[in-house]
Amino acid sequence: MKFVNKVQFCSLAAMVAVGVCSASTPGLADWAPEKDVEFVATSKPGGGTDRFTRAIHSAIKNNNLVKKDIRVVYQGAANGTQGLVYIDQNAGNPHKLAFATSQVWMLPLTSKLGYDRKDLTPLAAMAFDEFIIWVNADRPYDTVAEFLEAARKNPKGIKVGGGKSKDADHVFTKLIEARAGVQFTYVPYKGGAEAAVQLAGGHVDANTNNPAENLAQWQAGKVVPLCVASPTRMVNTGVVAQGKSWADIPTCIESGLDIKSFRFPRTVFMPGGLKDGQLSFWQDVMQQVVETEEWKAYVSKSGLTSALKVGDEFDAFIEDSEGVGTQIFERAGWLKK
Amino acid sequence: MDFIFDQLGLLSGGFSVALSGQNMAFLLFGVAIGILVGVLPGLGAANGVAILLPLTFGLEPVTAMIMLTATYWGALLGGSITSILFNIPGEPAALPTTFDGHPMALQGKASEAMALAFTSSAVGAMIGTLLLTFAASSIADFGLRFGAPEYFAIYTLAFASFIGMGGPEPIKTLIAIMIGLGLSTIGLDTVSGDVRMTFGLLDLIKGISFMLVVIGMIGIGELLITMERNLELRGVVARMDPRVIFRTIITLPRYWVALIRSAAVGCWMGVLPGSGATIASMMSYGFARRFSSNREAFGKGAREGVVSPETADHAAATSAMLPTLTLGIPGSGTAAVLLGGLLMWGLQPGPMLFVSQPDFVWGLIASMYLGNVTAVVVVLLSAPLFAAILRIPFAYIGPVILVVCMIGAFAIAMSLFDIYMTLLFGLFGYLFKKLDYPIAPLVLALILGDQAEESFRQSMILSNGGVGIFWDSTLSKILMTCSVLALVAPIILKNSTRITSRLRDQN
Repeated sequence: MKFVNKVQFCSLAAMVAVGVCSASTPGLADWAPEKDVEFVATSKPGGGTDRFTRAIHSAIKNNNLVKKDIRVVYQGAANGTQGLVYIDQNAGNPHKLAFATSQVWMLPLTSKLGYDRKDLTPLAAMAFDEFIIWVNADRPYDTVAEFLEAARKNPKGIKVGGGKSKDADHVFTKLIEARAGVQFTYVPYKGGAEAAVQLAGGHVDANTNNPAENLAQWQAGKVVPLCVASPTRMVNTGVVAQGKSWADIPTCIESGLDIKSFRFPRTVFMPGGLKDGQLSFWQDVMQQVVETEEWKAYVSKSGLTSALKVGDEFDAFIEDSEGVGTQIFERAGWLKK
Repeated sequence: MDFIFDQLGLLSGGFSVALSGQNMAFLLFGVAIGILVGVLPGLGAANGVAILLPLTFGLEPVTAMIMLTATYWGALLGGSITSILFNIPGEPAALPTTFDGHPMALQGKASEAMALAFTSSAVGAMIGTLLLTFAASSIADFGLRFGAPEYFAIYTLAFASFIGMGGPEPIKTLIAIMIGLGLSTIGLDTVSGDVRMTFGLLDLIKGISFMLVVIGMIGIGELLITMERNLELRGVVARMDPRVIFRTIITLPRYWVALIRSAAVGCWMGVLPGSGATIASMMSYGFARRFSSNREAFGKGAREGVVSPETADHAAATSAMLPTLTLGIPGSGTAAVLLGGLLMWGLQPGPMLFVSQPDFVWGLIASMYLGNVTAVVVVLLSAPLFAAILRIPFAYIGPVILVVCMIGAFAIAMSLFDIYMTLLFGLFGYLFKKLDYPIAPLVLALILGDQAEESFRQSMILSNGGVGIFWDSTLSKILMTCSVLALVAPIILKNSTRITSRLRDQN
């Protein structure tokens, strides 16, 4: 377990040393890391992206999938843009991986940021994270129907907290409004962790956190899940909180809210300009990661759906998702001018 | 009674964490580095910790935090050495210690002054840590009551108390706060999701880290000032005589009134966000002088004049950890740096920290008992050695400090741009010091500004634009009232003392 910020001084020494001795890399595979690797979590510590990064880190470490040392660093400033700009600036460097969500292609639609997502190399989408409608346990509604009824009676009266503005939580809230014909007041917080505490304290009425982000508060009996925006119920039937399992949460469709599927991918990106064999090495590593016990434990505990997409499949997925995002943002008037 | 035993149970668990060989080794190391940082005038506790912070990311969080807090305690003690022997505060909080500590040293009572300073520090630290031990859990539950309006109220209180108590010229404090607030708007805005104030510079999207400002304005600024003065550190030679130390320690209970009063001032200032050790020690010195029976002796080597600021400054430093851990609101500049560290290790300070990371929290609290005792023992043994360092010409030490500052600035985001920014802030720091503007409010505004703005705008969304939301809950009502009082009370007090003294003159 070795989590380090952006810099560790020995890495400077390592860079110098590698310059001298990189010629001695054995030629077993096409390519393998020649020096220490940096996993850049494009989030502040504590949120879903952080957990995702650390899960892959420990899967690789414990099973010795990569021979070199790996450090996890946090570059979460400006909604993770800091980390993506950093990856963008490291073009041609196969020792840096950014761990992110759909924000990589979604955020540039609404603001001018310091990177072009087409300059990055998409490595993999690893899993889907579900979105759940959670409400404060003290509120008088504990089904979707009662919740929407309350919202209909009191337009803009129900406060929904979420992480960031014009990002997934905000979009999901807009989608519920559109499908149910209601209006909420959306309150943006720094991230899911903050939205979770604010909901537990009753400062907002609901939030749209990913399963793992609200788990502690569910266990403490402060919040209640209403429905999950997924085509089928989640698969994990082990008890996680209040005598219930993830699989006990109804889907939004069966609760009468017409949202078949809203979820976002947990993704990994690399700098542009990679050489032959470098991308395929990491694709191979990720394929091994999803087979490990560590990954399976992470996926089931966090209520994720494991779904590895690499290469063309991932590229096509990004194109699709970007198209959907553009439509939603256009309707909301959020598209960047 | 049950409550007390619960806390003691948690604390003994903490001791088993803190007493591991590795943690004790890092604690000793932190104390030693801290004393060194404290002794050197260019480096205060805040930027000593800021510079060390990036170097600790390879450690377990609890170990790193134990080392960094130990550095803090060490730095506060080291600062007193320089104050007493050289009449230069090695640490901003040690400024009032120069008033009576240095005169004592000139009278040949240097070891007595140092022994007094160190032992009363230990008393202050113990009281602050006891407060943390017994108040922390209840404050943690209380933390859930903080929504956006309450947070905004508490930030307002921090700013108001800074303006209200910020030295002789509140208008300069206000200006410093405004500059800090302006700097804090740079980067991506959470509420709107838009990029602001970057002037097209990609390096500014991530915003300006307060650490750059701390290293630049305080560290490099102080270096520039020292260079300009062509400082020759000419001090008093110190020999620590064990018999004198022992005799001094047994006289300490005689000052129990000063000790208790100073500890109370220290804890209050520590818990209140944005004030911290420097203000606590200044205030405590002021009170000691005002309430003392032999006011004449102050400034000429009064023992109470050493005991009071030292007790308060350690009580403030330790109790500043209380709001830092339980609310995520730093109680002092150094606590703010430590808070940054907590976040980078993935520990979300706040009400849930005590539930989710009890080993970390209680290990840290236990280490504060150990760290302060260790620091006092180490500093008593090593004071002559550290004093010798000050005899090395500044020409050698200055460049070393500069290099250490640059490494620290680069380490924050591994960005060359940040080094240029730090140098620029160094120039600003120099100007601030020349023009007698306070730097601490600027740093405070930079740290809290963006959160204050965010919580204000979140409150406005929640209330649909009504400012009445800040007087809705009892909690925010109390906090807002305190802010108003903090802002106007010093003005009223100052005027009323002026009026009464004028009346007295007339009679």
